[in-house]
Amino acid sequence: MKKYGIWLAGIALIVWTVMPLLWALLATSKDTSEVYANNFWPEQFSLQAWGDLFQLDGFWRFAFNSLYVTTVSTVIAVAISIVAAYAFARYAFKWRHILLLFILVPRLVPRVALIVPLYLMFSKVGLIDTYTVIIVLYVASAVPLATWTLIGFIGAIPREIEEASAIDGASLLRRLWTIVLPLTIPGLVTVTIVSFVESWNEFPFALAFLQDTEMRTLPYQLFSLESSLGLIDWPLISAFAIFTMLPILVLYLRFEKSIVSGMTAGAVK
Amino acid sequence: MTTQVAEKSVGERPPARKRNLRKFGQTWGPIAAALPAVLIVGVFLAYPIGYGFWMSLHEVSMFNLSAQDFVGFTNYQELFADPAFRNSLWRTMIFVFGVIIIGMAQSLAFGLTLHYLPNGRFVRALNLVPYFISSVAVAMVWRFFVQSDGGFTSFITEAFGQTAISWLADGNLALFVVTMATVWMMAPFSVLLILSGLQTVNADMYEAAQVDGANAFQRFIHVTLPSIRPQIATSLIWLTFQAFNSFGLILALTGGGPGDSTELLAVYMYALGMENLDISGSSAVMIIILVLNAVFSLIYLKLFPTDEPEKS
Repeated sequence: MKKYGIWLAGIALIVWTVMPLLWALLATSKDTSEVYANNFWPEQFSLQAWGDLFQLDGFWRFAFNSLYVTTVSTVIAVAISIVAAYAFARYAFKWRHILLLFILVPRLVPRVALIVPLYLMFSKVGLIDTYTVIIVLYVASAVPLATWTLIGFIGAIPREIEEASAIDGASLLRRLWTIVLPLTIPGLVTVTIVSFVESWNEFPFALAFLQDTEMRTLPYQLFSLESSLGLIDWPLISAFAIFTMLPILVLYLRFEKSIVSGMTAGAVK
Repeated sequence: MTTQVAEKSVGERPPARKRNLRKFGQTWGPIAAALPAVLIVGVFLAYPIGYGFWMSLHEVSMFNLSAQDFVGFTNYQELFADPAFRNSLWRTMIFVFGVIIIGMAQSLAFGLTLHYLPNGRFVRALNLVPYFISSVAVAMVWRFFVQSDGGFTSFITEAFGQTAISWLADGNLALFVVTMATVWMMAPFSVLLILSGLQTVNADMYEAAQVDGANAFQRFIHVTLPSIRPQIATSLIWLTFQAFNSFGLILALTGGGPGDSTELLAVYMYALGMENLDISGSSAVMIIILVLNAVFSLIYLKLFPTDEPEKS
């Protein structure tokens, strides 16, 4: 009895998680009109939606925008964070605690809330509608969590290893490169993926600070899609939504273990 | 190998022979290394909060940014006098409580499920998938899911011979759909938190309780729940935070409608500032959201005190 109970609960979890996604996936293999026919499986299997998606006006441009801002901001964020994390983890310098809090506290502020003040700041310097704004904001959003997570990873490297090589005459940069970085790779993987996912999925900043259609990222275009279509083309929208998930799902399933452990460690602190 | 040394690394004064690590400069080196992170966070996350607070106390015009009169709390008073804001606040509260209750129920139920499920690795990985989907994609998937023609819900209702419900045409139903979609997206992470808590519960305590004649339900109430208090508090904070700040999902799922029935605080704030160009009012809403987040977090931490010492 108890055994069946746990299996039932497991099935409930799977159905609850998968059903909305499966329904969208099934729609992409249906005809636009068949979507309204209340069939579960498509009567006539069609890949029309995917063809439409890839021929959508500017689709590859939006995909490029997303990939570009996400990649650049992730690389910068991780670089900034690892340097800061090394300082915080290894040195008991003046104001360490205050600066650490200063980096962490803004993480507790919702990003949407910052839109109006940020908009005024950026319009004063004429940066609205540039990649720069979006990249800078994605870096700023990613740095707190990335720094926090990396401090944990670097702090866990035994000091003695570094000291031994320092005594052998290795410079700080050399130690960073040959000892700290290789031993922090699991942490780097975690923060890189988490930052990448956040930037890839980000919507409020893109909506507020990008105006030219050319500049849109995928989530923004997905948001604008239905208003420009007239009659809602559900197979196309579903294909678009699923397309935006794919890179993330691949990354997630590949690195599931390190992402999960990194994320829970970050949250409980 | 990595975790055992963690506690020791920071804060201890190293003996003399270890000091050559410090050649880099006792104070300024590390500060310089931390500076880019501190600066970018300071300028783009911390400063806007201060700026927003300042604007909420002034009358700022989008068209003449130099004319700024100090008006004290007038902007807040105007907000609370505005039925549209009060309505938004009220519906936000309903929404937040909905997300907390349904989300917490899901977190405990699925957390326990994943804890006891044999060979649950795949299901555990699957559980977190919704959390990695962008809010707009979640909104679109859910919008389609509950469509009165072609949605899964209508497929089910028609299979039972009922007429389909237009979930998004009715204000209260739409709020319910938004709640469920938010839970669907955000609760998987708190499921994970609860699961990580369950894995640390001492098995001896269950045995002791069993010896004392406690049944499964009593063991859950008296052993499990008290042991995972910190994770419950973190989950509650997480769900509350995500609910108060839900923006993209609502905007793409209902656009705040029908009427203004799902125009919750974050959406209201955005519309007020970016569409009505009432910067001061919008900034005041922002501060109200921040205060609400803080108050709820403090309440949880008071209700579920954690005995564990803070780690740095």
